[in-house]
Amino acid sequence: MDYEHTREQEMIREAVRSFAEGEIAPVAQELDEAEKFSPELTRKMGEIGLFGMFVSEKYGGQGLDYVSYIIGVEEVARIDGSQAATVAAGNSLGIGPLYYFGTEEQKQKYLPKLCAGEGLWGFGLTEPQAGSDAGGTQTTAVRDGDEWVLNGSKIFITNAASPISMGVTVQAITGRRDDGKPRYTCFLVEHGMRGFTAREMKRKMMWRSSNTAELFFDNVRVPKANILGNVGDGFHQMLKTLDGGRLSIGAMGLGGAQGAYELALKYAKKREQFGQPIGKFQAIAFKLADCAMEIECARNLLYKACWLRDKKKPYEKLAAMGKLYCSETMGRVVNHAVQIHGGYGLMKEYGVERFYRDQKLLDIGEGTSEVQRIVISRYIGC
Amino acid sequence: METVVLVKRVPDTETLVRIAPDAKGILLDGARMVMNPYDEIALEEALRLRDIHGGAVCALSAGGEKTVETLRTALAMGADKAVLLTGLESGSADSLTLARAIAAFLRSLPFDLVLAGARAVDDDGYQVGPMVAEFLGIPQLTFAVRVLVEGGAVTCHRAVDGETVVARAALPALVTAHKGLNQPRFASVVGIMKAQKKPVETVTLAGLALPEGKARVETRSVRLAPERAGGLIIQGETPEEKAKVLVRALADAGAL
Repeated sequence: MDYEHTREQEMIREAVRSFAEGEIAPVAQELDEAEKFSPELTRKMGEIGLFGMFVSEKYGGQGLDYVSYIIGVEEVARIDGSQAATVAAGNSLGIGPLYYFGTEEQKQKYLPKLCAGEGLWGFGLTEPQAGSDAGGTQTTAVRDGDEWVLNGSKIFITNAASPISMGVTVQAITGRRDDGKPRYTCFLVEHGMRGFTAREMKRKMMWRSSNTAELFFDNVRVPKANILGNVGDGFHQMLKTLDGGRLSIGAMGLGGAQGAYELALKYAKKREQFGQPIGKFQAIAFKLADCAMEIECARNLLYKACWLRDKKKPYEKLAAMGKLYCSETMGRVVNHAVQIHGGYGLMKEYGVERFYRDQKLLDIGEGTSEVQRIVISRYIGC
Repeated sequence: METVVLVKRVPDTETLVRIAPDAKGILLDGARMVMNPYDEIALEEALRLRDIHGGAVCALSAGGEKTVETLRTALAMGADKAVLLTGLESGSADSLTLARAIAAFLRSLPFDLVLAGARAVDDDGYQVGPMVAEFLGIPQLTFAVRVLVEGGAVTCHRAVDGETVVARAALPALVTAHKGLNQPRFASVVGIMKAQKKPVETVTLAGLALPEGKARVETRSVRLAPERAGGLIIQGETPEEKAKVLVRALADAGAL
């Protein structure tokens, strides 16, 4: 057993923490209120190396392990959920599928820019009629000579309609298997292809300065060179991508919980009522003790899942557990954190309400908490 | 151009400081340790000057094993190499002892410019940089908010008493960096990876020809600054009345 990170991993934590405190913290609240995505901040996150951490240096990545990447997401989420979303989705859903399933040409074409934070790539899976039930997918692709013709739409796609979005990996039905079930294939659809429209979705409750898009495909002709991997690989690619994605959503829950907990602890030491700091009252102290304990459990669970992945051992069950537990831990922590702040916790200037709002997505995105419980229950043989 | 940057490992100013049981220092276990922010500015300037004039940047620090972490941060930011001076008993070394040791080491090294933070945020001595320059017998330009190197000389804008003094010195020289000189870069993940491969040399004081001299400062005791007492709000209907109350309060406090 060894519970220590490597020196490199500790330095990465320190570096990302300094960056997040110095560059993200001063603008997080303002961007949230304006519901504004910042290409400048994204580029800065690219400069310090938050994109492509697990990608080989050959394609502009940093060639690090998954634990390092998760530490990076965690430290950004400790300060701001929106920027963490840009990083987590940018890596796990944007860069990930291209890196793991793309051809050499595709990797060389897209990855260097994405790893530099100069461009973003989306992952188009969810549709208006296909949320937890991915079987409801209606987007289709039909072959026509050397091209495929896409029709359909996608919704809630992170990073897909920003000023620096370059394209989207789109899952579409490309036929039927012998058992009648749909056969899925992923296509790399670039911004600017005729018939492809990406519209930014506004008026969100959370992740307000991350970019969320609705995508429309109206007879979009995609060359066959833009097929990700092989025809029919789409379903498998999606499952693999979501397994890794769960770890980064877990990191957002963990980091967000840590950030909200630190705000609450600081406030509890400073705020006085009945002649003493409120942290001296057990009603408050016990809440903070619970937060500290649950964050510790969440961290150990998530890091173990990442460690398994880095060791190339089965990690899927723990990834689902980590995503679920970290999300729900953050839910309990932000609830306590706002409660400890009392009336001030409801006001924007104290920052803790932003954590409260940002948490809710984690129970829903990249597989709802209910879906995670289905995944876990299958793994334990129910 | 060869540049040496003096860096110090200090507790983060956000860290809650606790006094050691013997009251001779503070407890650092559990404290978040960082590079002195003024040294970060000095290092940033050295890196920028290197980009213009070429050469190498060496980060130098004195301290124990943990100080290597701070040097690694300097390397991650972009320094080319790092040197750790060991053998100074922590706590017992005053600024003079430290400056003497650093100067002794620097004599063995070819350099054109030494950069240091104008102050360290832990003990706020403002001393080590200037003392090193004195020991080495080189010019010093302190509190620099702008640095220009050309024609074998360094020109600095020095922030002094709210004014700016422009001064020029022949190289080699020592410059201390003040707030406003630049905005230090963040160590990048790529920088951290590269830093693992860069050399950190350890030099023990025993191996240096140290001139005679004792520490001149002894720490007798350390205590926390007293909590600020509540202020006094002067009450009164008219300015005259308030003035009277104020004068009485100042007299009572022994200030008049």
